Order: sequence, then C-alpha cells, then structure tokens
Amino acid sequence: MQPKIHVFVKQIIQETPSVKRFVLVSKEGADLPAFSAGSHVTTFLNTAAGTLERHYSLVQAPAITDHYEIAVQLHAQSQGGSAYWHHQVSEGTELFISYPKNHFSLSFRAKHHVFYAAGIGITPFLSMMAELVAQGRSFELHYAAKSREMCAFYETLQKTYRDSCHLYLSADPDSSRMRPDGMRQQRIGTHVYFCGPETMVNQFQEAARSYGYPQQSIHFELFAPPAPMLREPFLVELWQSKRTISVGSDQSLLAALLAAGIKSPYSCRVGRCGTCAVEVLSGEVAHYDSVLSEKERAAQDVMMTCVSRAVHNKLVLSL
Amino acid sequence: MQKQRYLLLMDETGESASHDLRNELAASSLPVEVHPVTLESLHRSELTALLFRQWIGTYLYLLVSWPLLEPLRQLAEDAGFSEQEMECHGLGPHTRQVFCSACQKMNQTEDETVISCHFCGEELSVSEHYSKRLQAFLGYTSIR
Repeated sequence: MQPKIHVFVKQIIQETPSVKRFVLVSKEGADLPAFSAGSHVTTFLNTAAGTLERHYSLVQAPAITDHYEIAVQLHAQSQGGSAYWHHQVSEGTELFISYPKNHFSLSFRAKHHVFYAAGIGITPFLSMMAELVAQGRSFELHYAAKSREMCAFYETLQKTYRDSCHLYLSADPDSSRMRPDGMRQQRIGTHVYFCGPETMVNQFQEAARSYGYPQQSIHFELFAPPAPMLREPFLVELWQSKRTISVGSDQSLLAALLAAGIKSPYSCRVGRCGTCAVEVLSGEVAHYDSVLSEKERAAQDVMMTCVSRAVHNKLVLSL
Repeated sequence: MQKQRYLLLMDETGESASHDLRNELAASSLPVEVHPVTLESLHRSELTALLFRQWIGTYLYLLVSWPLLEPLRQLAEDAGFSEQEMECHGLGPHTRQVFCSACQKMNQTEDETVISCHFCGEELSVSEHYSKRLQAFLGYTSIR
C-alpha cells in the first residue's frame, strides 16, 4: 500500500462557476513533501460507494510546501470524484492524499517551452510556469476556455504571465480559436506540452509530429484513460496465481484484478506511467497506453493493465 | 521525426565525402541549405546565429574532420538540436580518448583495440562503451 499524507481543507476558493480551488494543509502541522513542477497527488475520497482515487495537479509554485493547492472542475457526468469535492467537502474536511508524483515533468534540455491547455487542463502548467519564471527560462501558454467567466485562473494569468499568455475564448465571436499551427514556427529546441481532453491532445500531438517535433520533445497529460476501441469482455488466466478472472466490458483489466484481490501494481490509471506493466505469456493485446514503443507493442509480451485489453477472448498473464 | 528541411555543415574533407548525401538530399522535395565551416568559423557569430535561428523540423548533418566534430556538435546542441535532429559524421584521421578503468586517467589513441595505459601501464582492452560525459571509450582491464 502506498504511504499517505493526512491533510485537511484549510480554504476553498470558487475560481469559476464550475471550478473550486482547495488549499490542503498537513494535519500534523508539518511542511508537505517538496515536489517538482507538473506533479500531481492522488486524493482518497471516502464516499458511500467506497474509496475513490482521483488525481489532481498541484497548482502552486513548487517552492511553496507549507500547503498544497489543487483545482477541481465539477463534471456534468461526474463518476463521484468531482461531485464529492464540490458537494461534500467543506473547510475543515480531513482526507488522505498520496505523496506527489510526476508523470508530466518539464524538460531540462528544452530551449523554449510551449504549453497548450484546454479548460481545466491549465492546472499542471501553473506550477510549471512558476518554476520557469523562477529559473528565468522562456515559455508561452496557449489556453482555450469557453468564456472569461469559465476561464479558471484568469486573474493570476493576466497579472503574472500577461506577456506569455494567449487566451482563446470559444463562446466569444471576436476571439480566435486555439490551433496547432502556431507550433510550426518555433525555434529549434522547443518542447511542446498538451493537457486537455483526449481529442485535443491527440490532435495537437499529431500536428506536432507532422511539423517535425521529435517524439522526445512532445509531452502530454490526459485527464482520463483513452477510450478503448475494443470494449468486449474477456478472460485472463493468471499463471502464478493459478486463477482465471473475467473482465467486463465496462471494466478495466486492472479493476478486475484488484476486485479479485490480486495485488497488481498501478499508479496513474491512464496508461501514462508504466507502473502497471505485466508480462503477457499468450494472447493478443490491444494496447491503449502511451508508454510502450511501436516495437514493444508488436512484441506482445507486456501490457499496461489500466488501459489495455484483449483483442480476442483470452489472455494469459504471468501474475 | 518528420523532417521539413535539411541543413548541412561541412568542411573541406566533408565536401567530397558528402557527394552522395547531397545528391540524395537534392532529390528529396525538401529545402537543403549547405554551409562551409572551418575551425576558425567555429568562433564567429555567423555560425552561432545560423544554428540558433533554425526552426523545428530542421534536420542537421555535420560532415567534418574529427577535431571539428565535437565542438560543432556541442554548438548545435546549445542551439537546441537533439540527437534525433542531427547526424554527425567525423572524417579523416581520428584520435579517440580511452578512459583507464584502473587509474582513471585519459589516454589518447588512434584505432588500437588493446593499449597499455600511458599512466599506470595496465593493459586495456578498448570497449565500445562510450561515455558522452567524458567523451571517451572505457578501457577494460583484464582480470588475472
């Protein structure tokens, strides 16, 4: 079990009608662990339906460790996480969070950083920009939101990053749309970073590749696991555990393993970090992660249980 | 990477050695820029400016004599070119550095596969294990 930090909610700030910012402070009164720009924490929410794990980027400057700040958007189709934060949490609420983790860190080599955020995808870039300002390094932010009212952190961005920040408001007929072609005329050594819905991230990734960005210069973070093309139920035979488990069409392989009491490792749950990799002994895998290379995918001997599935009705894993 | 244009830097030795490559690049539909370089031009601002004003999508070829290669590669890296965005070809006589794993000193060699360390006399087998940090090949000692 991963170690957890006991915190309480010190303050809640309504950023926009659908985004709240929460200030979390250690219950023991101590400083919280230091973190690097782009980090997130997993929050453990004790709901009536059980413990929900939700990941949120830390939005303050990494130099600040006497508290953590996260921003949560209330989703219309919330599966419990954002609704819990918005409706059940008040100032004084206690909860457990993970140590900070970073699957979306800044490149040390980049000569210029270009960020593209859609909606609440702005959050990881807040700590990144604070860090880059502190280091005197160059960056620019492109940020699409519905309107001025729905644009989280508008004031902070205008006040602190006015010259580096480009806003695109989709409900404003006078505002231009955020488009990938701005990435084309960037100097050599530029790295690009995307955070937003899967369709936006995919569109920008594809464009960046076509403009000549090497894969190592393209970084992204998804809010949610990518939608698998295949959603058929399948069976997994676990070689070491000598068990066979069925995975439902609306369930990930990881969820089925955990529900069956198999101690399978995991962290991000969106196919980004590689923690949940397991050895595949037989069967064909439909890979939906963004960790494995083309060559590794083709080898069909390892898979990420949090997102990937079986092409046919059965897989044999070494677990 | 999806290359958008080519930039080729070469010195006198690179001019003849790059004949086939230049033909190949000319046959592609992408723009090709060729610039001569010398040891002297390394320290001129024109070369630095040329590398620093390149855009994403530029693929760089360096075809130069060995002594020029490393400083030029370093300058390209400072400008922002990563390993995926350049190809380096050293030409002519080549001295390479071999790091002695016994006394940890640096030996200058040509293309020998076994040397005696100039400092401690240990017999070193020159490996393919290259350190980018030290810019040297590791010299293994034999276990007796």
